[in-house]
Amino acid sequence: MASVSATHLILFIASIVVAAGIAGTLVLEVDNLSGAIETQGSATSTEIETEIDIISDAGQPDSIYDAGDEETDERITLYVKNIGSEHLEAHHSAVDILVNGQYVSSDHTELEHLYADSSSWQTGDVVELTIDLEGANGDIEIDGDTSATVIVNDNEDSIDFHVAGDDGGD
Amino acid sequence: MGFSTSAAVAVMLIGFLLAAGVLFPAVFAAGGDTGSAFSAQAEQTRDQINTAIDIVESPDPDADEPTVVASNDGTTTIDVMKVDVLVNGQYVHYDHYATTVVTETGEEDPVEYEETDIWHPGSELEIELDLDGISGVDNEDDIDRVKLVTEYGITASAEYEEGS
Repeated sequence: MASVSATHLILFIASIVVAAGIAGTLVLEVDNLSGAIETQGSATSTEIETEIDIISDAGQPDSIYDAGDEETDERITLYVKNIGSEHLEAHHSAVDILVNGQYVSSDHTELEHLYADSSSWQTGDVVELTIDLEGANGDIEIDGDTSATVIVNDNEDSIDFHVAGDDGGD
Repeated sequence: MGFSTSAAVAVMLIGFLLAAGVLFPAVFAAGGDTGSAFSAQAEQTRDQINTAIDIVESPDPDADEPTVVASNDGTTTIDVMKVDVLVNGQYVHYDHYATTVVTETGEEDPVEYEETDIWHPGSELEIELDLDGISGVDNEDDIDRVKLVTEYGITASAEYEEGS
């Protein structure tokens, strides 16, 4: 052991320190990465299991679109059913709505659970979505062919219906 | 130098092993969750394909309360609680209709089940509507369209003529 010089000792300690630094950094970063992979995997499986369906009757457009009068605002009412295996949140901010391709802010939408006063939109449950078009950005003109899209957890469904214009029949 | 190189390599190898031990379970768990999500979706698709309903009878004008009759023409059982009824496009809450499952229809003694949730293939579901619960509909002639929606989104609808 007397042949081991101080230089060798210093180099040895230095190389061990560097190696430990590399190994420690690697373990920490991989830990972060695996946490991210787990979160992403669970988000992806939620998206896959989410399935919604608009059950409003397009054959009765009066029940969907209400042109409104002095007392009530112009609005669209949609019934949406959760047909997937994922329970959703029964709150209007969980749903994104497009009318004729234009986004309607969730300030102008209301969501009501039709089975019970519950905050969980379970599979098989139907909710009533009311979209206040008068309050929403005034560019949305409803005349003739209209399409409404509801998006939850990246899963969407659309309904097309015909609204009679002022010039047509009723 | 020889020994210090080996020691450094050994430390780094231990580091890689620990990292792999943390990473692989997460990747497998994410893959497993995604796989079971696809499998749940495939099961739903099979149930959807196997479901078929048809509205067979319009409301009887002589009855006290209008009844819609639908038959389960598919091969799966439908959950009655999860069937939704829309009259003239308006949602009817389940408090405002009564359901009865009838089997062996067409024979002399149809068997009726009133308190059941099981609408099995080949049987019919009679839905008795309570018109007080439906706004805009005062009597039977006001019913233009009825739409039924089952658990997985399979629907059936029927139009009614006035005065029938």
